[in-house]
Amino acid sequence: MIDMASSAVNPLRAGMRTARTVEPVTVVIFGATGDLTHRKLLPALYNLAVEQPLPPQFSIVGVARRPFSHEEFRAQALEAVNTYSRMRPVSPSVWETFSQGLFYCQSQFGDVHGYERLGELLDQIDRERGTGGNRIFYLATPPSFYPTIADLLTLSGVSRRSREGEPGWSRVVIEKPFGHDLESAQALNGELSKGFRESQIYRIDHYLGKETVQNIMVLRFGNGIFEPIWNRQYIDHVEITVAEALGLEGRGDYYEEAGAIRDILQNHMMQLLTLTAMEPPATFGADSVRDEKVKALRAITPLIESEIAQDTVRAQYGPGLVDGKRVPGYTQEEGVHPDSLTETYVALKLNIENWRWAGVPFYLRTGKRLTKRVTEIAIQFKRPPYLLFHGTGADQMEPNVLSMRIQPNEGISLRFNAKVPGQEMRLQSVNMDFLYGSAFGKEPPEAYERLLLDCMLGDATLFTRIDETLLAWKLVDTIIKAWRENNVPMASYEPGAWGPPEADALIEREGRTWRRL
Amino acid sequence: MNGAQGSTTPMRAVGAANVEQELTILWREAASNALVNGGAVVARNSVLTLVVYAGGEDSAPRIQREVESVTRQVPSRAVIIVSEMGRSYGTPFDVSVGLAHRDDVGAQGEQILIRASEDAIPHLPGAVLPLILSGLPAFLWWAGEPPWRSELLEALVDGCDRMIVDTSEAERGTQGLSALYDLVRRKKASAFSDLNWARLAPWRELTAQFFDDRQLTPYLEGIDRVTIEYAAGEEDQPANAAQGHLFAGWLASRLGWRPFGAMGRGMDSARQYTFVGPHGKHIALEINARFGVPLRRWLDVAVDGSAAYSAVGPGALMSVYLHATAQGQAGSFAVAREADLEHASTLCQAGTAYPSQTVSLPALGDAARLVDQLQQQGHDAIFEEALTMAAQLTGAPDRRR
Repeated sequence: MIDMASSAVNPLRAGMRTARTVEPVTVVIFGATGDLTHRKLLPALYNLAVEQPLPPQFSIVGVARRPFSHEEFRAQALEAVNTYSRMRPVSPSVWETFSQGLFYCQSQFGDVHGYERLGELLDQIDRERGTGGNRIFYLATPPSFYPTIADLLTLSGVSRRSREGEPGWSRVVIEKPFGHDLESAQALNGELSKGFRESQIYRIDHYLGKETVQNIMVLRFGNGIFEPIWNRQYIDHVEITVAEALGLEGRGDYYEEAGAIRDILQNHMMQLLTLTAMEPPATFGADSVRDEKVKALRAITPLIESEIAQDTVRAQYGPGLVDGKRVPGYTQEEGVHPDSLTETYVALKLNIENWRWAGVPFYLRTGKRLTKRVTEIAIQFKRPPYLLFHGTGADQMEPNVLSMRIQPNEGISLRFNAKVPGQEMRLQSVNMDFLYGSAFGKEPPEAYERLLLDCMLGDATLFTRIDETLLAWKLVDTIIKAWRENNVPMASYEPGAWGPPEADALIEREGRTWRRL
Repeated sequence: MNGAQGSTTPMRAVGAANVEQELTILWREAASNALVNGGAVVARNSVLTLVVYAGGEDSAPRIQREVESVTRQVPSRAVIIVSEMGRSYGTPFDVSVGLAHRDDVGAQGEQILIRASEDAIPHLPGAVLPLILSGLPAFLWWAGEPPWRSELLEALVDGCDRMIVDTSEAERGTQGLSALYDLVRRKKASAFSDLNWARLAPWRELTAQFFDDRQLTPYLEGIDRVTIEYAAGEEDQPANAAQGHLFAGWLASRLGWRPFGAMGRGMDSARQYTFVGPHGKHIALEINARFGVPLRRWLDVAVDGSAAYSAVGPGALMSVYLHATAQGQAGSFAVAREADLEHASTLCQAGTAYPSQTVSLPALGDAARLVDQLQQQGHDAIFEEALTMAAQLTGAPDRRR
């Protein structure tokens, strides 16, 4: 029985599916008319309202340059949710009350008067809807606006509440990329730190919101059979692949500045690597988990310039045929400079020099216009002694592989060898598959739903801490610097291939091959 | 009900002693077919056994469809029992087996259908329990009202880890609650799920949500009046107040209320109870039937989707109203089903009017799906406490209206 007098905890919450509850809050979305807001944020917030009721006071303020009224913004939002929500079509009854909490504030992101108007609107919402001064500022704008918005949120006092003992709290959510190198990431963090403490800054990497990525920790630490063999004694190497079949899809301007290394490797792939390599955290608390991830990053052997040519490959896709259609090469894409040296593919080898991983190489590869869209972490185990099976072809067998597929067909697969039925001793590799979709029969929530909910709950476990971000940039900066000095030639690959031959050479040099996915 | 698309192979008759061998043959055939037709590689996986008591031949097809849907979602073995008094199949047990296929992953689960002739019913445990997969959790779903004190039920409960029932199926309203409570009390090694309790999840969620707001949490201690309304059909039909009583039991057990005085007053369709709170405050609680609501069996509502047929199952909550005072200020908290029966809206007035909210009950009601119950492990202490209180309330002799 609950002792009601003991605390202000709601005793009716005990044992509920939604044990974690969201306080009334206003989510302020900068870039409210942009693609991210329409495709991801508004549908995710609506889905949350449908499946996991947000408090009735929950409110959203869109901030953007276009001159919309509240009603026009609501109409735009309805269209976005009806187009992109996994719970479409929208239920008119649910929308009726959800949309009453939708507001719009027209402003240039650099206009200080716009922030004054925003502050007044937020105060009004606090008064009329009971949001208690709780605010989340979601920066869904081009990254170039981040410093300006952070600066003006602080200067205008809109984000000041949690710093001066006033009721309510403020948090800021920053989309990737967080800076474009180590120096700019430090500068951006400096700007944010003027108005927000680290505990208020949520650097979002939507990969961490994916169920399968979260499942890496459960697989490793929630089972007794994997962790004992998760080390250099049993593991030969680790491959992490993030392959995209698509090209630029109209994002030429952005991609020219980013390239595969900034767009994917610095964030998504480093997250996958740290979750695979980290030591067990003491708890699932935000700092416990992130401390261990940082330790793994710190243990990566620094790449020295003389080795970068040997341990990294950069490449661009050339023109070719995909699905029977002619596609341009990267340098012929719209928004791309004909002499561009931006890579659309990167492969590299990293070593983690600690007691668990010393001598186990981590091979990472990512690129656009590859054979198919697939994201996977593969743990390849050392091969057993085959003497026992001499003459059976066993020495040609592939060793055991535990693969964790992040997308598509999320699941886990273990490859092992089995005897082919018959009089003779013949071995064949078979797969034991666990498919998320078939095991639980339940559509997992979108990554943004989980991450937005966590931010509202003040749980930063699945967000990137500044030291993680800076360590990843440090690693990437070293590579980019060496590339810039042109000591690593830009290779080329056919669209629809698995990358350039140089990437094959990188791994084959050490007697290994990339997995055929 | 949600579920992956697929089909089940035609059931193949088999001798009761040859079930395992025949299933092995079916899997081998599925694997060969997949190889020949280029389908997904077949893996014989199972995560649980689901034993289903489907009742007689009339209800069996509907139950079987539901089980197929579950098997396609959860790789499992389903053992479906069909039996009815006065029926003989020419053999004690008429057994057939088949595989449930999913369009995307191929063979996914196995079904064993056991039709028991009347004289073989007492021997069912001996036929069913050996088919439970070893080392995996076993669930017993009793579709329809169980024969609460029968030897068959007791043996099957003992042989499984969790029993799933639906107290809305009780012919005589709240008597199912008392019977279930009695079983829970006696079978401490087994865990229990009540689909009728699971259906309350959105109502509990929305009610709890009022008091998540720290400004409103103190009102919990000041509740003095509660009115719970549930759906009933025609006035000349008995009303099923089980869900209403479970909700009352939940509120009372969570908030530390004890029944006070006589154990309820009024007719079955309008019951009044008095509780005393932890600080001596009296709480008046009413559980009333709302007649004239279109009703269907819960299973049919779930299978067809309520949107396709605007109806609810017997005893579905229609509204919950709480009145409370805190620091001298009165507050009203209400959750009410909308006219479309699919949505519920909240209303909160405590000093000031709080924004209202409308939610889709099916979207919040996932827990009421059978497949979700199969993911439950161990005892649900909150349910068992609510059931204990509800059984205490309904313990008085059942009075017909």
